[in-house]
Amino acid sequence: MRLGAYVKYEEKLSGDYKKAFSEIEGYGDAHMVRGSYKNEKMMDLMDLLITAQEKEIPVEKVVGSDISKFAKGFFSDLTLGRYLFEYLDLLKLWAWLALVFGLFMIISEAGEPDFDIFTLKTDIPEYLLAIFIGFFGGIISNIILVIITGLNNYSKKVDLIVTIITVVVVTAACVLLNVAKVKIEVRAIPVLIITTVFLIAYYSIAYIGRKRLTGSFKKVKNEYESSISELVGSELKQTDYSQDSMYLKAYSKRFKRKNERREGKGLPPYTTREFIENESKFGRHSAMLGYTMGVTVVVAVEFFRGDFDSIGSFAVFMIMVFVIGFFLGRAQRSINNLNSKANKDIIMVCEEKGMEVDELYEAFLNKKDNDNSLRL
Amino acid sequence: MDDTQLLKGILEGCILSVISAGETYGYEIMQTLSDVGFTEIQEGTLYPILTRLEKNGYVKCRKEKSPLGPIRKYFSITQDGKERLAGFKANYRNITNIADRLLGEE
Repeated sequence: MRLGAYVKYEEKLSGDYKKAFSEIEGYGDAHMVRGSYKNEKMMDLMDLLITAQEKEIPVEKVVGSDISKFAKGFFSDLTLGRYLFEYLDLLKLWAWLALVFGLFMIISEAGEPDFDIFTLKTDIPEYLLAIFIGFFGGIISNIILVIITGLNNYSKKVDLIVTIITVVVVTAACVLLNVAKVKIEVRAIPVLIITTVFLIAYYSIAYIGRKRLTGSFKKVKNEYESSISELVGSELKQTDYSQDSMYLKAYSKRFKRKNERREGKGLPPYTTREFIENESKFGRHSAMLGYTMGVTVVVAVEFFRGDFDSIGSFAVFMIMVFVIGFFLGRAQRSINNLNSKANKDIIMVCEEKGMEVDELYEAFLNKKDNDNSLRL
Repeated sequence: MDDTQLLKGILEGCILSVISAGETYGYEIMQTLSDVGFTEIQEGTLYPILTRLEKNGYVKCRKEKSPLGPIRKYFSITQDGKERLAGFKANYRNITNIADRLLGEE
């Protein structure tokens, strides 16, 4: 998941500049400014305000006395086409989900004696159907209202109306479908064809567009977006001391305990570097061991319970286990990267100051508020 | 009489003129315009005008991390932009000459 990279710099703004930035962002949020367009515009605004702040120019000289007038002009290049384009990304996600759903249907039934891919179908549960109706109903009513009122006149009131419409539609759909015992059957082949055609068209347009804009088919990192781990990692370097304190406190306790045990065994104490490197290695190995054991136990239990009535259903189950494991692994790697960054910083500060991590923590607790010399 | 419509008519040409002096960025453009007397341009329209100029091929944009952290857009004028600017200056002089005759020079 990627977010606006401008978020990394918000802590650099203060006072009136921060207030102006928040107000302009709030105006944007209430006027359908979102997605990649928002990320780029907010980065432009961030550069403008941080520069003005650095040069001590009064914020009124930059944004004027009427923030909403400034914001209206600032976002005036948002076209209806750009606004609708942001929805394509959302549709792409739904298309992938539907494609995977269709493939699961096929794999789970494959191997059955009466398997026929062309007549293969499944029932959509009523609640899922209601969510689909609500989701697409919300998008369509949103688009209709924007076309009627115009992007520049879109307001919080309209936002509220759309939200209410969506909630009412979903609730009504759930109740009605349940009462009427409506069953919607979906055939696998149409789902696969529609989603495949959409995804081919989407990626073809994206690749051709990218080639025209950048001269290359290769996707370049969007400098206006950051992953969550990048944003959180950059937070560790921001002004919030509580993040630094959290790491130092945890390490300080374990460092003392470990060295007490080593002393009891007649071993030399760890330095901070040795301690942290040991902790990282242990953390990675134990996470890997945990996941492997967990997967093995789950699969073994399901297998011996006889829950798999065909090779197809066993294959579906294994695919789901590996997909979940893949995403858990990615999350674990992000956590490891975060920890790795903090670990390097702790080692660096300790070695610079000639302290061990427990001493650094003590100094940290006793530091004066404006003392940045102990920052990680 | 509201002068904002008058300003809107010439702002794009003025911004192009600022950029023609050398590669520059949003804050610097705003500051230059303010220094010469355009103190009422805090309407936020600077960036949409820059986007429009780039889309029309009159300026090109280079992105780089600024010394303070955020990604900054640096704008420079293109050949088409220079021709556009020359045309704007000619039209501007023509119109102001005619207006001066009508309104009387002060």
